[in-house]
This record gives sequence, structure tokens and C-alpha cells, in this order.
Amino acid sequence: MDKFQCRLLIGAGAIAFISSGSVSIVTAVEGPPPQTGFILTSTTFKDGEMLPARVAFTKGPNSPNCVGENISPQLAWDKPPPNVKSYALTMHDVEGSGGYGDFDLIAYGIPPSVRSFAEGELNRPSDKFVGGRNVWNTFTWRGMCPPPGTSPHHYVFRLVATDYEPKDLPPGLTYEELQGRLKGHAKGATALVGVFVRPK
Amino acid sequence: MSKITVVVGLQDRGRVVGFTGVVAALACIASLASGAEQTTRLTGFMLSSASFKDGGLMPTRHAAGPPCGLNGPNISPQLAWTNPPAGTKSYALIETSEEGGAGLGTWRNNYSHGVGDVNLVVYGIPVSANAFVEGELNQPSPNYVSGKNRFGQGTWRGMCAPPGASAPHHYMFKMIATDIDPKALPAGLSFQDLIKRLEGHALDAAVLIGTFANP
Repeated sequence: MDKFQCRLLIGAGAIAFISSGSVSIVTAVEGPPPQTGFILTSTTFKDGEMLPARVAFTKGPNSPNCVGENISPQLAWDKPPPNVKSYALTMHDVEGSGGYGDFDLIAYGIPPSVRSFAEGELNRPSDKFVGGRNVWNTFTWRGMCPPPGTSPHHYVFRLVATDYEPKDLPPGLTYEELQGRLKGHAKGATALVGVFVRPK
Repeated sequence: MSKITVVVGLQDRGRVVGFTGVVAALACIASLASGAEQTTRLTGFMLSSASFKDGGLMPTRHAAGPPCGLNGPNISPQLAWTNPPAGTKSYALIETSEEGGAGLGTWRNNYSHGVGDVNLVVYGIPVSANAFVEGELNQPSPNYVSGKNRFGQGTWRGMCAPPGASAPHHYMFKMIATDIDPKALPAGLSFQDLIKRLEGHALDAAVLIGTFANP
């Protein structure tokens, strides 16, 4: 059993122990120190506002409700925590699949020298990121496509600073696998939220 | 994988997943992609607040008190919801911080469902209710059943973004419409317990996101 499996086992045991109700710990640790003002922004959309249609997925035989061009948005980040060795980026449709949520982008192994992605840069593989497996079984940007009749959906872009070297993690990890691997390696996170509703 | 339950057909391919076990759900999506059946008509279910706008800053009166360091009054925000899906019998409401615990949630969470820290877990909200006034989630009421947040609390626990030059944190309110009788679930469920109990019973969800930065 390697160190990672060991930690996983201990963590699972701790969670099981806590959730059994046998103890109640009230020591409150708020977030990860140190705080540097780590922030994720975009020139394609503002935090809390509408994403442009060009970012949405394209219409096709299997996607009749989609209205966009599937161009990944511009993203940039600043003030990362010290000693970051790579970043992981996910995009989460929080209302997707009846509220369960869908992950439309999983990317990690982003080197610390990279501080932005231009529009469309997440549409094809590059040495700037390692593609994970999204809910559509693809490894690059997959734009939003809310069904007709919904209120605006929320799309959370989350960038996690890690102490992994860019090539430490294998390609193709799912969101759950990535979250498991990031345990103990996440040094800070920043989020950016866009909304989108299918035009009538 | 027999536990997978069809909840609602969504998105362009009519793909369907259920509120299932965390890992099982993603693993099963491929097998569910075919033969999807739309069981719920989307109605534009929507969550809003008079206390703050979607995507906007939340007022300091909702921030946590000691030991947070913010010394906020910890008043729960006003929330209202409209256009629930047909067949709704009760609602569940969770509030999570997207950035909490370095984006992974504290170790007390299960690092899943895309959530950070879980700050509020309530459910058994009767379908007759369509709003909470400010402060209503601060004390037990017949309008909801208390679960447990990551501190073991069953009522509102306000924002506590870390001090310093922290960029604004994002607080996600998710209201889930369910076909469960309001009194069917026991009090004190954790987020993870609740998600398991909602398996196959979630009809749709509405989300509202507020931001907050420690001044």
C-alpha cells in the first residue's frame, strides 16, 4: 500500500467515524492559510454574469438544443499561493442532471508559468494542460447546453493550486479521481461563476 | 449499479443520471446514455433572494459570528423560490462555499459533488412554503427539518471567508425539489447522508450564488 492509498484509507475511516455520530468535533478551521488574494478572472464574461453564446456547445444531430460555437472562454489568474507547482481547473454545471451537477471540463497539470488561457485554447490538447475526462467522455472544453425551459444555469470555474509537478498525474482522470488525488495537495482555490440560459 | 435511478432527462442528448453514490454516478453515465427517458418537465424552477442578487455581494449581516473573526450578526438571508416541478412534495436546501478547504471541502466532507465546505443542510421544507424571511433559518421551525453542516449545526452558519487579501468567495444555495413527504427524513442528516436519501427522489434543482470577501 502506497502513501496515497494509506491516506485515502485513513481519510475514509475518519469520515465513517465522524458520520457515525460517535463524536462531535467543533474545532473550526476556516479555509487554507495563507491567503494571497488568489483570483480567477475572464475577459469573456464577468463573475456572476452571462456567458456569451459562442462559448456554448454547437447544435448537431445529437445536440439539437445547443446554440453556440463551443469556443472555450478566456481565463486568467493572479496572486497564487506560494510554491504552486501546478494548477487544476474544472468547470461545473451545478444545476446539470437534475441538480446532481455535471463536470464539463477537467484539466490539470497546468504549469506554474501559465497564468492564462486564450479563447479557444482549451479546445485542443496542448502542453499547457493535461486533459481529464469530463461527463461527455471528452478531454477538452465542452460548452454549456442547458435544456429549454430552465431558469439560468450556473457554471462554476474553479482553479485549484497544487503542489504536484505538472506531469505527476496521469491523463484522463475523472472529476472524482482528480479530487481524490488532490487530497493533501491543494494549496488554495479560486472560483469564477458564469450563468447561461438558452435563448428563446 | 442497480441503484441508479432515473431522475430527469436533461441537456441536448437527453442524458439521464440519478442522485447516486458519488463514484457510481460518473461511472454509470456511459451506460445510461442510451435509453434515456425524460420523466420530468422542466418548469423554470428558480431560487432568488431579496437580500442579495445572483452573482452579487452578500451583505455583512449574513456573515458568521465568533469564532470566525468576522463578528458578523449571522442572520440568514431571505430566500424565495418559484415554478417548482410537478409532483414536488418537499424541498431540501444546501449552502456550500466553492473555495472552502482549498476547493476540496474540509476533511469532514467527502470531497465530492463539486462542493467546497457545507455550511447549511436543511430539508423537509413543505411544498406549501415558497420563501424564508431573513433570520428564519437561524432557529428551528416547522418550515424545515435540520440536517448537520460541517460544524454539526442544523441552522444558518454564515460566511467566514478568511481574512486578508482574499478574493471574494462564492456561496452556492441549491434548492432541490423532491417527491419525499416533508416528515419522511429524520433530523440530523449530513450532506452526504442527505444526498444518499435523495437518490431517485430529486426532481430538479435551482441555484443562487452570492459572493463575500472578508473586509
